Amino acid sequence: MFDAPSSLSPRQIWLGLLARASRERLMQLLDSAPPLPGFERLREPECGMAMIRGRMGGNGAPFNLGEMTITRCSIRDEAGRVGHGYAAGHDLEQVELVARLDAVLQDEVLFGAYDQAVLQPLAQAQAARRLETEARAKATEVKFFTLATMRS
Amino acid sequence: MKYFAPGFASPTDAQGCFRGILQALSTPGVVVPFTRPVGPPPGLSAAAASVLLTLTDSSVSASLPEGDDAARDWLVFHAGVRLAAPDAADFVLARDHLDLRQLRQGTDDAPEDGATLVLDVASLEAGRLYRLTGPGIETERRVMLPLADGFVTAWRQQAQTAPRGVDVIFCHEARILGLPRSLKIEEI
Repeated sequence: MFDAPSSLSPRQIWLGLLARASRERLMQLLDSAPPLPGFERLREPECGMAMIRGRMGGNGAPFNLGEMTITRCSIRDEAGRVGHGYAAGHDLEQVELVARLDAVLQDEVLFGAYDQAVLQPLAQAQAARRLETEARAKATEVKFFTLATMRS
Repeated sequence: MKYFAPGFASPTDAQGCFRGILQALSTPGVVVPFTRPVGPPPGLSAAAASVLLTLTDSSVSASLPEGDDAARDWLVFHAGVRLAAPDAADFVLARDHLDLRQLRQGTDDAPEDGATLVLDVASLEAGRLYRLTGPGIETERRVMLPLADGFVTAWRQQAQTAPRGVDVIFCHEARILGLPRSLKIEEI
């Protein structure tokens, strides 16, 4: 498992949290947050393909792993803040919510309220899910010994 | 701070503009209106913005004048176009006449690599009277064109290197006028 680079900016972190959350989850969390401001779409929500590239062992030569569906949207809200949303899958409403949240989260005054109502619960849930997956993987871990070690 | 504004409201608007550009280049000298142009960024006419956004994408390069930062941001955001110097770009936006010979001419094997000059002018009708002949015109067409001094001479020189050359699209408000390189222009 790769560790996320430690130099992620706060915006990268929240865009990651939002991109991994489903539309239902976002709408549910937004119920307890202040209403999002009105907005206009700079780029309509749209689906496309992205080529996923991998590196064997994390440092080999890059190779094309395959294509995946991604969806993106860009908006500008009433106060002129610009937000972008990108997520895997084809949920047009999810990326629009991500873009609208990205716009308000960049505002230092509004950040607190949305951080508490949306980001914190998402961060906790996603961290818990990750721990659970790691624990499940750990249970089936196989330790390899070389022949040389076993002889000695 | 980057400039952001919406692009075409719908893909069919872009298709309508593409149809208009085809019309303008196949009937040279006839003014073609865009019925649903894009809302332009500051500094561009609706017609010039529509032409650039319709024709460019990440596989071509464009050149916009120094200082048109809003228009550059807008075009790069929506089209993903590469910015280039005027002598290297596929699409060149200008407000004044440029020397056609400074733009990319293409090659005899690939004349389509010649640049397209998008001229955002103050009026489409001002200027002197010219006689146009060539493909797309049955006999001749007489129109007023806002051509700068020396344009007709440069145009005649370009005709000698056919099929290499530059195509020109004049833009004003939401209307365009096309001068494809195959056209013959004479002052009357």
